[in-house]
Amino acid sequence: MAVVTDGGGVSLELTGIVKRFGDLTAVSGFDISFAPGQVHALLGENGAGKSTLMNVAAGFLTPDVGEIVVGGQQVLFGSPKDAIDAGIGMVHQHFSLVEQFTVAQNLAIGARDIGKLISSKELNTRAADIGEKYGLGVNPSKVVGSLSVGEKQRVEILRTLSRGAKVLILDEPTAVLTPEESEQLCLNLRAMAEAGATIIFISHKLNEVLSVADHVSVMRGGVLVDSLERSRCDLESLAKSMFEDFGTSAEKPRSSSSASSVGEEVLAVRGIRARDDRGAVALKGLSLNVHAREIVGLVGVAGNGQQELEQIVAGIRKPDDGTVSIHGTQVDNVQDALKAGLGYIPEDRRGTGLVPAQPIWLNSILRIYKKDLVSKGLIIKTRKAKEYARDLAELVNLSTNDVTTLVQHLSGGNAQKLLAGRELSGDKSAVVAVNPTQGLDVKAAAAVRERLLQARDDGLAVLLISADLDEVVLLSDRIVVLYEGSVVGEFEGQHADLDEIGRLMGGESRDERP
Amino acid sequence: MDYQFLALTIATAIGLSTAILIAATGELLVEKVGVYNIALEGVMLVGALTGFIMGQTTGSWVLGLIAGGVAGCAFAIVFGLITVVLRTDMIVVGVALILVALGTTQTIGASYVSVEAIAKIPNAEIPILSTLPFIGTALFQQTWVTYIAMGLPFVAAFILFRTRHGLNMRAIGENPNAADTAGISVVGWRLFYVAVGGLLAGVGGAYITLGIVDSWAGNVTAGQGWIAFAIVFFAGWQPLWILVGAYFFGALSVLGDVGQIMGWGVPSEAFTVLPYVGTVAVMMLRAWSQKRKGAVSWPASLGLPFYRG
Repeated sequence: MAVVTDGGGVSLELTGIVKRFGDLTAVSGFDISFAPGQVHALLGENGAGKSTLMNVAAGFLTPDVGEIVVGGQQVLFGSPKDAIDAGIGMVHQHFSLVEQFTVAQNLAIGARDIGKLISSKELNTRAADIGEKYGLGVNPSKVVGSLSVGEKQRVEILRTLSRGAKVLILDEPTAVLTPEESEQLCLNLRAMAEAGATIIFISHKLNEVLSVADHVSVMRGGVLVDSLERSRCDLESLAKSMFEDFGTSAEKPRSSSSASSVGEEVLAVRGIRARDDRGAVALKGLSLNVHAREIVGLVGVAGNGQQELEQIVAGIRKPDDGTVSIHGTQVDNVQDALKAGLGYIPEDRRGTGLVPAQPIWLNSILRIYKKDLVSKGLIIKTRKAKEYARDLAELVNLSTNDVTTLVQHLSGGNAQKLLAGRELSGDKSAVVAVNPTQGLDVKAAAAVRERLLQARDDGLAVLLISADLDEVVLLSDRIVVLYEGSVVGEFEGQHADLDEIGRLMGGESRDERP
Repeated sequence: MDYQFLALTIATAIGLSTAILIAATGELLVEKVGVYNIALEGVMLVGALTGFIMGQTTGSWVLGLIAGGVAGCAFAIVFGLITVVLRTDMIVVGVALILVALGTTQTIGASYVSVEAIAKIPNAEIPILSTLPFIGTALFQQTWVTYIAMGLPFVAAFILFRTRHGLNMRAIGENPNAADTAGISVVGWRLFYVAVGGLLAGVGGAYITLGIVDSWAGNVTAGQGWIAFAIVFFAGWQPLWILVGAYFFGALSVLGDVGQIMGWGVPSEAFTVLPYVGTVAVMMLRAWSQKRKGAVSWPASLGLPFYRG
């Protein structure tokens, strides 16, 4: 590992930062400092204000109140460029790389140390030098769009460092990585810190934080609730600071469902071939099945065909080849899927799942508006529909029972409860749920998970597509690993080997033991 | 058809393509930084009238082209301020501006209708080359503007793919956030290239009134701005394909005259729609071939306003 910092390290102090969005105060004024030569983890739930605080530090957001001090000097950032000039760079979860450019070209965007005329040879040499200087291997002439997520992240980190960042902020860097890639990243970060860099690591994963950090700060609801040396914290104490009402929900054992109680095949996906929106092959003859009283968890690194599969099963995308059937009836479109009793909880709950600008009651009947229960011909029976919605709201324990409330005014957790409730009620035989707890606080996540388990116990076939491996292991009876549009492994939920799953997700073929 | 006639036909096609070629190259630069100036037709009209009036007033076609360019540039900057800086919808604003241009130029230009241009752009025969058999007639008896226009796509290609600035331009068009974090002014450069595109479209417009039809009439551009706009798509955002596209459409426009002279017995109206039908046909062909190749070549942020973060 080469030396990261040219001179000494740089410290970052944030004093009394306040950032509001409308009525919401995302960060509400506290002091925190980050020392050079350390990996400093910023821990907290979704919505705790970690990313907002760091976006302020990196010039993406302007604070309403508060001071930023870098290496003893007070600074004011008008743009990310100002921040990077002061030595602060941030790597977001969504990379800002140009997919169509090569690695070398990406590293050259906005660079001033290259000639006015460029040659790919010059850019490649420069990129290789940068990679060597910071000890992160990359292939300069590769097009970024063809790289794995881990490689892209390395390019993003290199770009930030090559612009002179001495304080490197990473926002949930492992969320998109396979376990192996995460491990490698953590090693790299440790090495950078030892070389004098200031590393700030935003995460909500306790184990990861404990393994990589020198110092841990915990945020909750926009305030700093704890800031400790690594040696002085443990899993339980951190979890307690992270969640106000810890213990009610966190790691609840899944309700037992022995393999023998699994019923007959309900959802059958056979030989699906499909392309993505850009015409590239996304699914390569994928087959899987889900039985009654079974949760099948589909895991994979994002972009390996999950989205296409999800949409095909839900009937909103046509495969090039292959069939989807429920109880033996082929599903070709949304109406078929509805008739066959398929529930669909899409990832984009506010875009695909619900209509935010409409009230709860209209959203409740969105998928049953043709049924006699709520309509007669072309006319919606408003009173009946509202009654139906009120029952649903009560069933899923919604925060409000006023069904004329617009869905956009519901919190993420309540919106998801409504969506899950709608998709699981009625005469259902199967459900597809995609990242159903993403972005929810712990309590809401637990409620949604409980609903899925309940649905399973009620006899539904549940296909759970999730990026959260822990969640999949927690809930699934069977785990299927997806890689580049094919199923590459299948595990019993109880006996899942996480390391093996991680390797398969990363594209390694299954161990061939003699 | 004898050789001389074919050579003259080619010469005419190339001449007719000049305005489209200039405007399309400008539009390519605009789109490469992620903006489409759909008001291109309006920008050309403004340039066409301003250039014509300047030509009539000063008797100089050079001043006429410059005035056309400046007017087009100014008009495009209006588009840029509304869409790039205020981040409004490019289509709505673009269409509105076309209608503004159409109405305004018709009113202001009323007294210039059916007046012959006094500052026509003369042909410049290139010594020696223009005396070559066939090629001389077909290629080397054009105006200076036509020769320069032929070079424009090459200049654009050089800037885009061989210079540091071009790399930054393409970064803006592909992923403005990546450019922004690198300290490149996304809004600034987008506005700049909207202005450059307007300048070129304005010159193209002036070329129509001073070098092609030699007069002013309402809606004199007759869709050439739209064709230039379509050619950028047809070319798949590749500068050198702009050249191919422009000449292809030039050839379609000249077919009508050829048909009449040759007595093909097809009504000339049928030929006047050819460039437009051709545009649709080519776009469909392109969409189809892209689908097969599975490649998308347009700048990824094309048409999307830029918000930081």
